[in-house]
Amino acid sequence: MNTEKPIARTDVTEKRYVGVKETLVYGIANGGQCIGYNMVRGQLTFFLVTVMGVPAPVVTAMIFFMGIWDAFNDPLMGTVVDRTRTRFGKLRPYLIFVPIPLGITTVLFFGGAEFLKSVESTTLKIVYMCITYFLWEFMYTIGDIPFWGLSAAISPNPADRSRVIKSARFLSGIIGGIPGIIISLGIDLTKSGMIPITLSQLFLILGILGGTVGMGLFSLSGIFTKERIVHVNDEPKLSDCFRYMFKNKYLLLIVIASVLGTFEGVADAFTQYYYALSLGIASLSLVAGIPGTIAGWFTYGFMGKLEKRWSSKQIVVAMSFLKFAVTGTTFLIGIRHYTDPKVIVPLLAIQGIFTSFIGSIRMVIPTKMIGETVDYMEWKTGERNEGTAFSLLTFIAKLTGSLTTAIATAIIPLIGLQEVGQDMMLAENSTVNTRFWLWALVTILPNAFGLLSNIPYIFYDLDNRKIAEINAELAKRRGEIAQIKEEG
Amino acid sequence: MDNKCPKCGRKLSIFYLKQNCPDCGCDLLYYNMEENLERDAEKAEAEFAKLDRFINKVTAPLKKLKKDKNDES
Repeated sequence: MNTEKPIARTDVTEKRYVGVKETLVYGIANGGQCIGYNMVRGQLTFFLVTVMGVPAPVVTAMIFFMGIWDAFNDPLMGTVVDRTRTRFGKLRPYLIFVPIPLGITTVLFFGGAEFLKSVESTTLKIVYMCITYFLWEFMYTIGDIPFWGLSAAISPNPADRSRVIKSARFLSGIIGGIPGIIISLGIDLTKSGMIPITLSQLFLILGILGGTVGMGLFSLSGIFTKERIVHVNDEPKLSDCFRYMFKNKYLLLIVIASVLGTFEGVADAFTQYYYALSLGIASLSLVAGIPGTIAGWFTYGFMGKLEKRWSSKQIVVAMSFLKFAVTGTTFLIGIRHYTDPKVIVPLLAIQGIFTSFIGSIRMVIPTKMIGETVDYMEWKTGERNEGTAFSLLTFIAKLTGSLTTAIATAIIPLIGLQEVGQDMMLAENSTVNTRFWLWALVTILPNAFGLLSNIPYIFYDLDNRKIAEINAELAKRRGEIAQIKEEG
Repeated sequence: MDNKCPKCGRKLSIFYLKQNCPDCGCDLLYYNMEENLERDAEKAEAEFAKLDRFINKVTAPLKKLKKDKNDES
């Protein structure tokens, strides 16, 4: 046994361990994962109600109960991941194995309408829908938590981690957007009879494509990546995993900040209503959105410069104030023109450039911060909990999504909107200036409330200097542990 | 994914998931961790160097154009 080799590695933050290919593979894999995810989430209601014939209230109830199940399912899966020890690591085995059942459940879910086309019983359809959706959701969670956990375990160097997260967010934005276009085209062509298949056959074909191509790409994350962090302890106890999650004060602060920032998402919920009801043309949102989409892609290119200058906390807080300033300015400029598309479309396009820039940064930095809190907990307790920590990331996304929908639904009658059939209309005899409130809701209002999310960051003192100290200390410890483990 | 023990060379089934070699007990995940990290770092640097060369090649005409403009002015 060679005992003379260097034990302590203090230069981990200076070396790149993840190459170009591995960084790209991680991003492409996330794109594959998003193909399936965007298909299911984007078409859930349309497919189940219109194509499969399940009553809409039943679908709503199923989504609600599944949301409650997620609250338990995510942290539970996180602890299972944290207790996993294999020769491939603790995260990668799931990424190698899960794409197969996830692909099968995607096919089963979207094949439902075709498989049950001769079935008259609505009950049977509901049972089929609940089982396949539950299985899909369960498999998705088993893949999603290890995938994001891997972003913190792929390298001891925070710059490597940031690079793979950027690759994942950037490529998933492009690859994951493809199904939406294909599905819309497919539905139009099928309905017009240009392709001689039924909608149920179309969704079966799309399910097979999503299940094979999407999951094939997703499986790359398990095959062509590596876990490079040495775990100090063997399998932790189940109770310890939960205990450490609540002991991780920085992680909890991020969670609280995310929940306090929920109101910001309301802007997206009202954008379509604003374009349709105030400007009269819903598709103008696409035109106004183009510059922002392009700006969002370019942001990934120079985010590294921001990260070198500022700590993650500083970036997150600065982006929150910048967003408030931009949307506030947009609100004031458009306050007398909010029903005039000639003024508003360019104005919202400019706002979109800034908000997409901020949005891209927010897609990366909070994920990186969770990785930093995992390092902090390892430094503090000796335990590394990527599973439980990243299960909170996925849980927060689902929770804030549900809260945003709930808040938006509660606001609708207050600002003089009413649902007529499947359409949203301006309420007759309303005393409220609905168009003005819609303007405020797509600009300043959500972001003014969003400033609340900065409060928890007052107590968040994990800055670059502290992170560098933690990393240096951890590198030393991991080197020693690796040597002990090697010696058996 | 190497399917043999890095220490004793025993062949491992792809479905063998345990962290230690069934023969010599060596930790399959962390054996030679330091050397593996060094190798990964060298490989990553080589890949980034290749990428930099590619980017320089692609952007060379633009840089030349910029330089020419500067020289003219």
